[in-house]
Amino acid sequence: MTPPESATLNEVAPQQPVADTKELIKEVLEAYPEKTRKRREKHLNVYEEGKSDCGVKSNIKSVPGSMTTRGCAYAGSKGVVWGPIKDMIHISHGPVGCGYYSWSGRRNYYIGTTGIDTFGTMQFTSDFQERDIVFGGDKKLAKLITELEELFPLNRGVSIQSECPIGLIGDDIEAVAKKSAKEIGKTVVPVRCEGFRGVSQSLGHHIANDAVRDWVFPQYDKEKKAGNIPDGTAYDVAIIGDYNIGGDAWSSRILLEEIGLRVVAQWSGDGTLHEMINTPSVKLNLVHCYRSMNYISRHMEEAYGIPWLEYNFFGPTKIAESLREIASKFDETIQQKAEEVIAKYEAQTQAVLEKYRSRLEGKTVALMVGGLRPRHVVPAFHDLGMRLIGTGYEFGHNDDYKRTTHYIENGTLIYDDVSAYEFEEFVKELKPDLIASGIKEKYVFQKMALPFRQMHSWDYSGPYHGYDGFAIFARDMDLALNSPTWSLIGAPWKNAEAAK
Amino acid sequence: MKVMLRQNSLGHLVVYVAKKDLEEEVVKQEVVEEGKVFTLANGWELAIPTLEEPLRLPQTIEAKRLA
Ligand code: SF4
Repeated sequence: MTPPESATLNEVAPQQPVADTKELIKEVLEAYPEKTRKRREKHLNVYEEGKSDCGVKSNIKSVPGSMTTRGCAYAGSKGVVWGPIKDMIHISHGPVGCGYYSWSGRRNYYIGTTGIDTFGTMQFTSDFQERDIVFGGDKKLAKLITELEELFPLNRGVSIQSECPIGLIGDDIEAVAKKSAKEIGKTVVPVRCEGFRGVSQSLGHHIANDAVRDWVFPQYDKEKKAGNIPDGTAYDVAIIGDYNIGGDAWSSRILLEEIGLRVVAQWSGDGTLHEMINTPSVKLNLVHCYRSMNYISRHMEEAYGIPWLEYNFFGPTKIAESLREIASKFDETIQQKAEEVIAKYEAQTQAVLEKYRSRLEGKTVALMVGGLRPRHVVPAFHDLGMRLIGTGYEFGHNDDYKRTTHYIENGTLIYDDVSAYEFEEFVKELKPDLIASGIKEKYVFQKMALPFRQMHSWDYSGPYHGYDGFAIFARDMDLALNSPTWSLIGAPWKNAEAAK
Repeated sequence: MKVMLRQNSLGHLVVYVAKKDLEEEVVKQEVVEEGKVFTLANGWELAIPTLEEPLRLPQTIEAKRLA
């Protein structure tokens, strides 16, 4: 049985009154100089029931000098969208650091022989030196691609991920891409994702999506014209915006296949270039991370008439809801199978809830992540009887905050692009039992003796998607919250004093 | 400004403006001389040029913001 969505909300203490939380925001803002306070004021708010959005401004440049968690456009394109495409070589074009320090940080799992036919965990860079900046790096780039082809002949293509200097010195990577594509006879995609573009990694996602539209889809159009694209089945779908962190896309794919759909493409976790090329032939695009791939989904809807549907595979309540909604787009056999699949996992889910719910019931959590997670994982916490007291996006836009309202209750604190200082102050005051955020926040809060889980990398665990993922999710939250370690963190002499 | 017209899962007409991250339902349509005026749920009013019938969705068009 899937638990009723908000069964727990009645049992635990109600959310702090809206007015009190608003007062807290004011207090926290007081530490800022006036100009900064005015800027930051717009990004912090309390959600009030019935409003159509969260009442915060978003996708605006961070305040210079404040510690935030944002990345750059290069991170959004290379790290998120293009990086996981396993059979392509993604060149970090420019100086060595950008690629080196973000190397393999995202745990996008894939199948293949690294260095032979897949390249996910490898790092390729054109390693710009002074002379490349002065004289331009186009020749070096062309040479690099020739060399790559020699060393890794089984690559299916190359993407050129521009770092900051490329745009500054005005290199013509598009020309190189066209020339090199002819030379090696493979796809070469130039991506103009220089880090200085936009206010966060979010613009990088958009630029990467546009590069797919401009450099990958024309190949589909060409093959389609030539009659080389098979019709496929009526059940062909693509998973869009699942990066297979810790195997997430796999545990999602299992469910989709079990209800009778044929997943022909994974964007982009464990995905390949040819899956991408083939995607305009699917019947429905299933979008998990709306933020990073809504652009290409909208494009496919307009250009190829493929509808798209946002779904959520975190926690049994939402999984069942999503499976039913996905199935409703197909015929009765699929709908029938969806019911069977939901029934099949009932026992497993029940066992998970029985084991963990009593240990987690009533605990509160504060979230701060990117992409889709600040809203999508909330129902999974609810399934475990936990409550959300605050949430926020690193680089969300207005459309994300609108979508968030369905997931949160009255009085939830909302913080957009929160700074380290603000987050700390909020936590000190609201005292959540668990903080779920990223690596940059982790150790600060752990040193405050607060249980913490990383929500970007699943703290080196996962997958969290799907029914199988939920079991792991529940176990991990229990491990974090109920670990005996937390009572040992305070200094012994202080404990002794407190005991007096 | 470029806006995309599409139908959401409830079958309502929505306007999406990528540059503004704006996705709002059309709550009122008014026929005027040079096309239509759409009123969005957030209060915006957009002048929409005459569109080909039957309406093909989704479709990106050039619209002008009136209010
Ligand atoms: S901002 Fe520029 S220099 Fe820094 S990591 Fe991003 S691309 Fe590299």
